[in-house]
Amino acid sequence: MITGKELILACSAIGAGLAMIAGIGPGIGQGYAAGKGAESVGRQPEAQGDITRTMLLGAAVAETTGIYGLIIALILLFANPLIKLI
Amino acid sequence: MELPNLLYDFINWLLTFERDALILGASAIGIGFAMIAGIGPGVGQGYAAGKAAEAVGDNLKNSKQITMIMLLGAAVAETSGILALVIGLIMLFGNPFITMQGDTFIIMGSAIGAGLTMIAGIGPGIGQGMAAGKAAEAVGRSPRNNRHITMVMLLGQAVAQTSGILALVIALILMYGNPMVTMDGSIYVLTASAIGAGISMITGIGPGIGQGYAAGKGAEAVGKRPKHKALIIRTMLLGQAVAQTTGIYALIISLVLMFANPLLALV
Repeated sequence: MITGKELILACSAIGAGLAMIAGIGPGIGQGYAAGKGAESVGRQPEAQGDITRTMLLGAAVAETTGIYGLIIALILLFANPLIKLI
Repeated sequence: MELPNLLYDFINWLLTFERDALILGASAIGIGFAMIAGIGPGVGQGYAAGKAAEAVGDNLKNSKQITMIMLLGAAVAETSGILALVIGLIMLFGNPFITMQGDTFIIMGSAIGAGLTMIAGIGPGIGQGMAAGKAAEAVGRSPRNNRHITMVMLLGQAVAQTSGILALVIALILMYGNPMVTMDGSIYVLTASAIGAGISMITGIGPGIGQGYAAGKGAEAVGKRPKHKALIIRTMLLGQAVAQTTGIYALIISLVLMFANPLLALV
């Protein structure tokens, strides 16, 4: 009543959801960066350009693990390699 | 005994119950998951209370204003807890799943998934509480900038609520506009997709905490240099927008799982 392929696909759907939980990290980290950015712009408004640039650069690095999670979820959904193994 | 046999046994065991019992049981699990969101407001409001107590100790004469902004911020931080409670109460007293047409397993998955999405509320709860605490501290230090601090705190907290609202939307779709229950395809894949769509939204914890922290720092900075309010707000909002990205990814994955599931074509 449930085929092996179905089981793998069903587990892939749950796995895709689990993979996305990685996004918690970038969210917290980038928010911290945003907060520190706002703080230093308040202290030295004339350096706003440099502060914003540094903040965005750091935030871009912090985004990577969120992107990894997204890629894995997309692979599980759209190019699932697991079903070729059965 | 091999693992697949356990799964057959489990599904067969589930099928010995009547439809209503299965759906109500899954709803009960979903309600439990939804209430986990309460972690957020608890932590956040506790932080706010602590910061406010500290600020009162340092600036006794401003204690009234500190208490006011702490309570205002903590009330906002309660939002996600209330939203989870509402979803829980709806599933208890006006359960939409029991009257839903479609396959029992998919409806069960949707009930659990709807509860799982609400866990995202941990984020806004903690974040908004941090904003409230920082704002209370700032008011204690410079009570004459009270208005500016309150404004930035509320603005930042409103942004921090985004992920909680997105989670609520997914929960409501699962409850009242569920596209999966009548979809053609493997019921097992659809059931797991409903659960996966819920799990995905838990990501909202991150943006919620991060944006709330930014809101707190924004309030702090405005308290120190109110004349740079515009620049501070701009930087805060820019950073918060970046912090929202992973929450948007999660929303997209949830929507794909619900409305355009590519796994169904592979069965």
